[in-house]
Amino acid sequence: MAYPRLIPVVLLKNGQIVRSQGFTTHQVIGNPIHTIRRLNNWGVDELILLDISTTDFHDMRREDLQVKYSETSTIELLSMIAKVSFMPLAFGGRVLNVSDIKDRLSAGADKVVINSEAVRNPKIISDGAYEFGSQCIVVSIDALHLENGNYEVYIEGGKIKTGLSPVDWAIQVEKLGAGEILINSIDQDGLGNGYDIELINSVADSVSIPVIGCGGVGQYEHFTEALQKTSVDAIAAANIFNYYELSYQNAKMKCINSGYPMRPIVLDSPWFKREPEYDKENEAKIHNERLNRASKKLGPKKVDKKFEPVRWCTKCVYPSINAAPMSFDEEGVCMGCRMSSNKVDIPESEWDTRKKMLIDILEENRSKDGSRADCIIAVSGGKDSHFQTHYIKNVLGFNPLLVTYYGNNYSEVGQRNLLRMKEVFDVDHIIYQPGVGLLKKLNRLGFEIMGDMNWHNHIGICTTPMKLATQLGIPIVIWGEHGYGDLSGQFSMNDYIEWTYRTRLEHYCRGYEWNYMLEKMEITSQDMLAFKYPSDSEIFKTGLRGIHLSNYTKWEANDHSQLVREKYGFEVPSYSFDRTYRNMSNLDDIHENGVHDYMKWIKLGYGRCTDHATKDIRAGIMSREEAIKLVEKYDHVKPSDLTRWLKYVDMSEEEFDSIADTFRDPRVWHLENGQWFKKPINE
Amino acid sequence: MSIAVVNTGISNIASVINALKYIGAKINVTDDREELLRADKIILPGVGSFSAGYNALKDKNLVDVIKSHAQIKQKPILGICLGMQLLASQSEEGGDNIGLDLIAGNVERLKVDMEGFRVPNIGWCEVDILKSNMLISKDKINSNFYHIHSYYFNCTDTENIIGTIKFSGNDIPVIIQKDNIMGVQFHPEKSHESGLELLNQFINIKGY
Repeated sequence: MAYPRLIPVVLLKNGQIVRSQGFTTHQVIGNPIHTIRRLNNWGVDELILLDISTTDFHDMRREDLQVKYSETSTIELLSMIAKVSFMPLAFGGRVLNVSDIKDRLSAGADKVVINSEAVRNPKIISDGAYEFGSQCIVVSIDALHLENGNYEVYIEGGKIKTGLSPVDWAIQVEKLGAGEILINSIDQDGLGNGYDIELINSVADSVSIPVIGCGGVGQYEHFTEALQKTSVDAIAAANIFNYYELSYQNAKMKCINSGYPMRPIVLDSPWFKREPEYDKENEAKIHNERLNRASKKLGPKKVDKKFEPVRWCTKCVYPSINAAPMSFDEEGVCMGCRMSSNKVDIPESEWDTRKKMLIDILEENRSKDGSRADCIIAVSGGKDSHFQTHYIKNVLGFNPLLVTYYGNNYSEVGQRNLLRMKEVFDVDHIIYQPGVGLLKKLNRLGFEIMGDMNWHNHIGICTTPMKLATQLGIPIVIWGEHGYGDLSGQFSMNDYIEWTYRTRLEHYCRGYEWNYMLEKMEITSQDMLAFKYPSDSEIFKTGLRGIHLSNYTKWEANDHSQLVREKYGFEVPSYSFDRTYRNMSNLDDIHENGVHDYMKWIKLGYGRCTDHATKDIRAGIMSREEAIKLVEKYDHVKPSDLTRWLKYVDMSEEEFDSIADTFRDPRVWHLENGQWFKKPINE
Repeated sequence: MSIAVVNTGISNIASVINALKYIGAKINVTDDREELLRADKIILPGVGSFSAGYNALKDKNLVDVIKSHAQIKQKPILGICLGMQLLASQSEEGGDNIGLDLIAGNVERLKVDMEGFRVPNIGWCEVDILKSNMLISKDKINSNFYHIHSYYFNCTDTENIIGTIKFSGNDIPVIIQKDNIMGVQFHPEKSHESGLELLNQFINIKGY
């Protein structure tokens, strides 16, 4: 007998992976390839991809990402996805006729999911089944629970009612030749309260073809509940698999340990390496072409396909072409603003509940015998690090070990703050300092390859605490806030998002894993030890979780700064930064707010001042007009730390400028009389 | 070593091609008689109805080439899903149809007489390996493969059965072999690491 299948559902909107809530809110999680590769690493039983795009065109080109995403249509994207999917792949969305089914199958889908069109034109089911076999026709049914207790089928992403009952419709689609039914609850979507058992059972009991239940999973126990209370052949979920490390394996183990056998879990498959295997030859070619363009001062490559020009959020000052994945709602407001108002709306009582949740997690993982620390806090020595340590040790009473990646770019003030932590908190502190010769190479390579000299810093910060955690058997690593969630609103506060390899590789490392640098400037595997992430088996064995403190306690950077200054002698510099009006951030790295951030301006046409002003608009302490003035004052400034950096890596300013120019996004910048120009905000 | 993947044009074989390329196999996707004649190994994939599959081979005039590859030259051939069923003598799907008759047996519809079983049989099933062969070892720990089928290969000679799954109280053959002729009911190309391992075994078969 076939095992019950556990199926991740991935929603695609305009080429990107999104999180859905109530069928209306869609927050961008990231670009698809990293997620799909990861799900394949995890050996998922099957994968359902649903395309909810509004147009057939998308544009995800970014010069500084390793995966280049040159495609602009869903079908092209599907072909790319199919090449890294060695599990059954069902693909749905905007299927209007038999030829659409054929296109999707030819691009690599094994099954096609049909929803709205099946209701409008049921013949598509029988025609599709006749042409390609029932086994590849999945009919998806979205049902809403009505006030009178009945259910009704809705189409067009839950917007249009049909008058059909899910049971009658399911019976009909079976007769028409559908091979499987995917039943989804609109009410439960994205809430994390569990499946609608009644709905799923009513459908599963009325047909004899396999049924996949979907909608509402927030915790692993919900899977077990569905297996216990329904007769479905498969259970599916979306959001949960985006937000927790090894969530698929952990969900399965929960089911297996509760007495529901499933296909065994996969960890560190020798067939599917977690670390990308790069096409060395092609990558070297791209690198050389860039240096070649730079030496001839040619700037960026031209964009040969159509594109949408940059636009700005109407509430904050964020542009659509952004370092973080962005999406805008119908009023032109970005998801970061939308999510931040959600955060402001969380009442004090809710924060009390969240605090209790955090204590439960920490208590469960506290060292019982004194053989290790209770948890690790990843610290840079900045205001947030101080706040985290203050909260975990002095408010909650746990004994943390502090872990720091030392990228050799500390400001004097930042360094004093860092070294003072062991004193003011009386905690153990491991500072991992890679050799400076290696760091110089990585600075240069990061700049030349992805326009980011601080790549080593991002990957180092993301790796060291997790690696030490597995080595020392400490199951909890505490991080501060989830940057992208805060900036671009990638998730809801109810997701309790945790640290994952996928986020590390995709967002912090831009798709460049440690092994990318092998053999460049004679770098060896041994040289890169600091940047090698623990294996999935090690993470699984340790039960390692990286949690974000911002999910459990109210996170307001300005308040933290004041608290740690008063209580722990945290120093802020007396000087101001070149590129932003705030002076309390990024003291751990003089280039982070300087030349690293200047590269963001070069690439995308905005910088740290835009980030800070956006945060302050959202915190309600700055108007959009004031913000625009500041952005115009700071974003373009070429910072003074460039001098140190050029000397550090032995590069001339001319060479720097010419390489930097190759990263300019042609959708943002244009050349006029030898000068680069961009559109000001809102023009 | 040349490995030909038969492309009858009736089903989507993108996944099979992706998987074979991923494991580094040099393959030739073809419906050309001459190319099949030259092949050292043949893979016969397929999804869809039996008669459509067999007729496609007939229309493209490939039946005798495949038979001679398997029976006269005795070179390795692997049928996948419908491709395995086509190796049979006949099938009851859509009336009585004759097959390639490379392994004696009849393709019959899956019978459900127990609660909890549905047709098509979709999903991951653990395969009981009755004896080791060139594709898989009896001692294999993870022998889970992705199945999606409504019919199965009822082998006349139980000697040819390598692996079975339990379905509604019956043992259903899902890996069969008669000398150089092999078939799998499931989709190795969609069966993650266990599937790639099996395909890799096939492409590495030596001595033919």
